Order: sequence, then C-alpha cells, then structure tokens
Amino acid sequence: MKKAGIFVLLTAMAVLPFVAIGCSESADEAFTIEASGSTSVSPLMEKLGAAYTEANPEINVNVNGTGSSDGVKAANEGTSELGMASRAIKTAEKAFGLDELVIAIDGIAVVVNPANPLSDLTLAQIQGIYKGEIADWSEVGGNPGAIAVVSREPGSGTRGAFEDIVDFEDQLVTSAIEFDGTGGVKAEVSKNVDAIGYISLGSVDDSVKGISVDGAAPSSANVVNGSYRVARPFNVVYRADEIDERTRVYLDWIMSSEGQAIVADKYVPVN
Amino acid sequence: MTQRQFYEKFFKNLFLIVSTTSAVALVAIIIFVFYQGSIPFVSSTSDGVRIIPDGIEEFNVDGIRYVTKELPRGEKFVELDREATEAAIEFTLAGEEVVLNLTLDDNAPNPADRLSVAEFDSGTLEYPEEYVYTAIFPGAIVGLEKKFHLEIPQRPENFFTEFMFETEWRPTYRKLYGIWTMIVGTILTSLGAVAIGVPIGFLVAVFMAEFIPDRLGRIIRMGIDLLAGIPSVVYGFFGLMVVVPMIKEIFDVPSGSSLLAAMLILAIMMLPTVISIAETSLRAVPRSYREGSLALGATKMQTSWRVVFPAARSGVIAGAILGTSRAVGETMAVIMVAGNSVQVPSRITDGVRTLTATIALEMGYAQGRHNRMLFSVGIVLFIMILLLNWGILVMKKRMAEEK
Repeated sequence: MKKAGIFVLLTAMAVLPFVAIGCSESADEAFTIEASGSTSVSPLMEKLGAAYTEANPEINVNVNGTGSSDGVKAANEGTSELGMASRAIKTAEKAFGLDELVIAIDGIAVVVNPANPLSDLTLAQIQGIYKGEIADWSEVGGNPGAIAVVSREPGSGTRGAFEDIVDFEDQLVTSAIEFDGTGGVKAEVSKNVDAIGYISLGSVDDSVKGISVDGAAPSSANVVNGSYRVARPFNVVYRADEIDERTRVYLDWIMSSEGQAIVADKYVPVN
Repeated sequence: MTQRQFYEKFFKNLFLIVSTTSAVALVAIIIFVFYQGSIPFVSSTSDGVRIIPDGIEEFNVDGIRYVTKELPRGEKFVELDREATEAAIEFTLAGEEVVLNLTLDDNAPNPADRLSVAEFDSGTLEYPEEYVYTAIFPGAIVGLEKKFHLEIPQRPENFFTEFMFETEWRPTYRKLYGIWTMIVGTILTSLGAVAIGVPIGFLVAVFMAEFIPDRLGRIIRMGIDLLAGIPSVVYGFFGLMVVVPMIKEIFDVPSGSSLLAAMLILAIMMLPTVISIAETSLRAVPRSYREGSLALGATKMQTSWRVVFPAARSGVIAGAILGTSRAVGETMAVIMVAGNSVQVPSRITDGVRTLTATIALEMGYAQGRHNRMLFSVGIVLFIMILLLNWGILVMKKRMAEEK
C-alpha cells in the first residue's frame, strides 16, 4: 500500500498547481496590476501600491525589481502592464513606441562613509574621482588615503543617469568596484572609510553620509529649486491603448495630489 | 492486470516522460544560448539606418508619408535602405516645414561618420551615445521636445579581436564588448581557489580517513556535509562582512573587495566537495594495503602518504576537479566579494570581474546587443568548462596508462 500512497502523492502534486490557479482566477473581482523594472523605482511603486490597495482592496499591485531595461522589455512584450525605468528611455527602446509617464524626480546622492570628514565636493571633483584622475582623498581636501570608487553595474538606470549628469559616460576608472543594486553600494560605503558611491536620494539613511555637490546639500528641496543638479526622472512605460481600465485609473491616481503626496515623502513630486 | 503491474507500468512511463522532457529542455537551452550568443558576430543590429520618431505624429521620409500611430506595434521606426546614400526627413513643426537632410556612408570606419546631418533650422543635433544621433526640436511645453533618433546599424563584431581579446567592456555608451578582463578574472580566481583549497582539502581528507577514530570522523563528516549544503550567498555574506574588511585592514588598500577575497571564499566553498570525495576514495583503499605497509616497518604517516594516497589517486583527483568546477561556476558569492572591477588585476588586492558575475550583474539591465553579448559570455563560459572537463579526461587516461 506504500506504492499506492506514492501514486496518490505524485498525482496530487501534478494536479494541485492547476487547481490552485483555477481557484485564484475564479475568486471575486480581484485584479492585479503587474509592474516590473528598475530597482530604484520599486520601493516607491511598492509604497504607492500599498496605499492604493488600502483604499481599493480588490486591486493589488505586484512589483518586481528586475532592472530598468527589463521593465521596458516587459512592458513592450506585454508580460507586465507597467514597466519602471529610473533613467530616460533609450533610443532603441523608443522604437517600441511605448507611452511614458514621469511619476517622480529622484536625486542621486553622492555618499561617503559617515566617518569621512569631507562634506562638500564640486561636480568637477566628482568627475575626476570617477574618471580616475583624482585618486587620493587629500587631493580634494580630505584625510590622506586612496579613494575606493564604488559604482553600479553597466546598464543600471542610476549609473546611466549619474554618468550622464556628471559627464563621464563609459569612462569610469577600471579599478572601480561595481555592485548590483543600491543595497550593495550602501553596504560597501557604510563599511569602508575610504569609499565613495552614489545611490538614490530616497535610499539615503544614517549608514552613509550624503555630501553636498557644488555647495548644495542633497535634499528634495534642493532638487526642486535646481541647486542640486544630480537628479533624474522615474519613468513608467506602458501601452496606453492596451492596458486595463483599472490600471489606467491607478496611473491617474499616482499623478493625482493624493499619489504625489506619497511621492513627496522621499522623492520630488512632478507637479 | 494486477495492481503491481499497473504501478510498474505507471512509474516506467513516468520516468520515461520526465527524462525525455529534461533532455529536450537541456538541448533547447543550449541551442537558445548559442543562437542568441552568436547573433552579434554574424549579423548587424539592423539592415539600414533607423529613423525613430519621438513625440512626432507624422512625417515624410523621401516623400513617403508615415503616421507614427499606424506603424506596426513595437516597431515604431522607419528603416532606410542599406545602399541608400542620402535621405530626407520632412515634418511640420508649429506650422513650419522642417527638413533634415541625411548623408549616409556605410563604409566609413568610424561609426559617427557613417551618417551626417546637414544643418537645419530650429533644432539641435546631439550624439548622445555611439551609433545614435538625436535631432531635438523645441516643443510647445518645456520638457516635451520633439525628437528624431537616428540609429546607425552596429556591424557584426569580430569574435576574437573585438570580443575575446579586447580589454574594454563599455556596453552602455561606447558599445565596446571586450571580455578579456573577465576571462582572466575567472581563470585567476579559480586557479587561486584551487591552489588554496585543494591541498587543505587533501590534508583534511587524509587526516579524517587515517588518523582519527571512526566515531569522531563521523561527527566531522556530518559537519562537512552540512557545509556543502549552505547556500553560496551565505558564504558571500560571510566574505563581505569578515574577509573583505580583514583584507583592507591587513594590506591597507582602499577596498578589501578583491581577487584575494574571491580566492579565499571560493577555496572555503570547494572544501566540502574536495574533502568528502577524497575521503570516500581513501576509505575505499583495501585494508591489506595498509597492513602490508605497516608490517614492512613503515610509520603511519609514511603509509598514508606513500601507499594509501597513491592508491586512491583517481578519486582524489575527481574531488579536486569537482571542486574546481564549482569555483568556475560560482556566481553569487563572487559578486559579493570580488569587487567586479573590469580590469586585469596587477596585484592580488585588486578587484576582478568573472564571466558569471558579468551575466548575473547585467542581465536585468542589458538591452539590444548588450543583452545578446551576455549570451555570448555564456558560450565562452560553456566552452571553458568543456575544455576543463576534456583536460580532466585526458589526465585520467594518462594516469590509467601509467598504472
């Protein structure tokens, strides 16, 4: 009878997933909005989604942080209704003909270890550091010590925007340490006294120190008044003529004063 | 049909289906990777220059009218003929006719020279990244400029000079796809890990098989098997939190994320594999060998090294090889500690990037040819592992002949 047991178990394992899918589909009017893309936009989208679900329990927002290019690809192929990108849409991606919506502006904070006494750099100094022309902290007025340059991986939205604004496109010093995701950069900078990195302004906390660029402190207020220049848009891409009505309503809600109030918590609202 | 026969048949068919499906899936994966990965070396990204409208509803190219909305879904561009030497784009901007005159030269060595745009009114021309020109015209509202993107086709890359042996990996703006630094990185980290891990593993295996009482051995073995089951990200985390700061402290370098850290972590990770396989084969050596050696007056140490170890050689080597494969293929732990710098390291404390790390780091962000190139990296990795296995086969054969 042992075999019969195994038989039943195997059959059950084969059939169960289908039953489960059937159940979830037949449940009431629930609707899930799929959003995938940039790991920098994900925390904001999750927050927006949670607030929206609270008000509209039948709508769920499922957020996948896979990367900006992946998000655009997903929106193009229809695997996800909304694609998130933390950078401007690239030329080759423009050819997909997707609709774009800027939901927030995010500053990119240049961060150093809290133990680093330095608190101000010029854009030119940052460029020098990232191009490898400045290799020691003493050259920019800090304590003597070789600079550990920390960057994101090629293709990252944050890196693309940062290289674009600081103007060293694909000229990163080869000895730079590269991490995937904001978390990796933050971990390295928070542990290493000699490190310099850059992360989304919304992700800055006590473990790292955001430094002023050209005298302007990294804050939402300074991004708004334009004195802090290292900022980029958070884009959502979709096909306006193909998305569900409920997704459209959700996008309208994000752009409404209610949605933008949530954005304003850590990022810069667009209106 | 009895119940027993039924079950027998059921399981037989089940196994048949499962094994066939997995074999087919495996072949499909390999074909897919090879197909995707070979595209950049055989074909251009497009046949001719692509004109991509951005915020422009309708326009003329060489007198033919195009409406952006009516262009096929997902392909909102107009592709010029490959042989074309000139083209004209016309569109209306705030009631005024604007003309962009393009001159094309497919043979120019420099990508930027393969397309030139004659001077035009009311807009500016940019070259934001290699192979792309963008003509920008002011829109009705600030931030809503109207643009034309002109994409120059990227030619097939040369597999050896532009991929394998090129040192610049600048995929985003400059579109250079050289992986030499990563090949070196993979080889160095693996070799280093083998150099540290295998000798230690052998010593531990001999110690466990020959020198300690059985009961203690069993407990240690349980611990080692447990180590083999720890997910690689945990090793990586240990490396990030303990090994990397330690290296920074000891060598006084800007960052401890380095070749050395990757070697150490990989060496630790391959230990369980090396130890357990080597130990099993040492234990399989017949008791009479040891007794004979001891009876001739050899010490226990001499017996272990001169008699037991050579007798178990093939198994011991197999352990070392399996460990090496693990080191070559390991991704997560390496990403966390190696620094991922795209350079050929000159010191052991420099950061390195491995092939697997490149794929894992950039897959979510890659797009177009960059994406395909990651598959090409996969092919190179695949070939490296095949070569490694082939080397092992040859070595095994030679050893069998020596006997």
